[in-house]
Amino acid sequence: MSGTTKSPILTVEDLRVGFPGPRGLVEAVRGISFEVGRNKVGIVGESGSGKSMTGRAILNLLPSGATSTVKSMRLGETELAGLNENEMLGIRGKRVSMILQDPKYSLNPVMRVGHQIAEAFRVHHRASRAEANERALEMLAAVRIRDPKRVFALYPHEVSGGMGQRIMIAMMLIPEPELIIADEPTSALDVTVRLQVLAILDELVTTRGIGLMFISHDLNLVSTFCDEVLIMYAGRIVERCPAADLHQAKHPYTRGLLASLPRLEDGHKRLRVLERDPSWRNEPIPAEA
Amino acid sequence: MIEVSHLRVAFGAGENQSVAVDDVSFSIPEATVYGLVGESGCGKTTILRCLAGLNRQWSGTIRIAGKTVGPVRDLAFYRMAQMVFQDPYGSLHPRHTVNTILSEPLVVHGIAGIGPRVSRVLAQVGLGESYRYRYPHQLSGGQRQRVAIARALILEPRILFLDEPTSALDVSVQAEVLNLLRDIQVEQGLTCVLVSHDLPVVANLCNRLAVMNQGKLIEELGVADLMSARAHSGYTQRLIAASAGYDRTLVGLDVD
Repeated sequence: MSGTTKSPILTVEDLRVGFPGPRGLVEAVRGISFEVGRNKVGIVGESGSGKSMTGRAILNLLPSGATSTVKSMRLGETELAGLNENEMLGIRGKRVSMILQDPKYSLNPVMRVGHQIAEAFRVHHRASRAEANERALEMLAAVRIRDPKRVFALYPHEVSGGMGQRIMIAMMLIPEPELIIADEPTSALDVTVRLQVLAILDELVTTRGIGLMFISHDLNLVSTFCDEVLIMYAGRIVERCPAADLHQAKHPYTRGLLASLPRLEDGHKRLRVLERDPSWRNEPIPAEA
Repeated sequence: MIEVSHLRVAFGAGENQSVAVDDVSFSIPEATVYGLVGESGCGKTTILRCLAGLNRQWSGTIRIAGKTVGPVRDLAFYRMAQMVFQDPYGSLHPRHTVNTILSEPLVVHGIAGIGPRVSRVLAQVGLGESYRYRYPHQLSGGQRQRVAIARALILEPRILFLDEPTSALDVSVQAEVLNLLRDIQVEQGLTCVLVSHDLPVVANLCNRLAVMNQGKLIEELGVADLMSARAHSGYTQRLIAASAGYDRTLVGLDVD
């Protein structure tokens, strides 16, 4: 969308991720290009479509054995392609941070959550412990935790899933990144809690002008939460459209996915089953909208 | 077919006791699909496990097919009632072939004619003979769930317990499995209990459903009420609204 991509935060050109195997390279991501501006970009796809690998490749956090190549990957003025591990440390967390699916596994179980948030700040900013703790308390309040002092001193097993994910959001936002990559951030949460977490993420991202890459398998959620949607199939982007127009999507894959979703108002109606067309794998990719 | 009255399940003792299911009663007529809906921790899976005989710590009365059943069930019960679990990656033995997996219930129950029965049930769930000697890791998620359904069907049960049977699957695969479950249910007149947190899935399969919250049965709805969002309790209304997707105006931010 032209209004929001005027000054893209992240520009990715021809990203490829592959796994070398005995029968040659298996490509999980096969040459995708996209931009994220100060908006919410949803990346949707089924398992194995390469959506998570795309998110991880940006931070160079691929599983061992995976190789990635990219023509160009610019974060603001910085070219990320070719940075070494040391230089990436200055990017990760500080300028681009990542929220993963389940807070249970991404928080340190033997450290008070407040100290984990403060640590995230101290890694990237010169600050005293007291100052960092102060910032962590402010951040907890910003993610709408009613009693920040009490929650600061809790351990991860003492907080609920929804609160855990809000703590993760606090931790990811405290170094003031330009871009957040959220990989299925609400899949482990109950529906009503999910909406609260999304509302908080929405508010913080919008008011602070942060770009958000929202990776999800949930078409309904992405079409209602994001500004723009990229649909991935077999490692490529097969369609991109404004999120509000997702229900008028043109690509047969997107249409097939939408038709296979059960809907509350349709009751017992038989669901349409997606017929995969081999040509989708290799047909030309639509240009930037 | 299934009658539950004043079912109560509590875990732990003394001060740490938590009541997972609190005085729940409902009944399910034959050949219908009954949904148990709610968020995690509401007790829906615990009820299913009590019905299936997997959870033995409960009080109250459970009547299945006209007989009052106790915590421990006999072999004849499992011939009549079978279960399909959430995650086909976890519920199939990784080192048994599809043939072994499907034969095992027949061996346990001492039923003859294993070969033809396995072929028949494979055809029923839409898998050909070519899948018979494969291992679970050689199957896709949807095919694995078909094998899990086939294993439940091979004893020709009258009751099927379904615990989130599609929540681990992609939407396109979910559609196939839901269609399959519906076909089988109609064809064989099965009585099913479906546990799910996904209201559209429940609307697709169930005739009637119970909404649960914190161990209590909040309300019972017919599928027509669910389709047109005619719910009485505020909690059910919130669940229905939340299943429609993200709406900034619906959410109050100040929550803990």
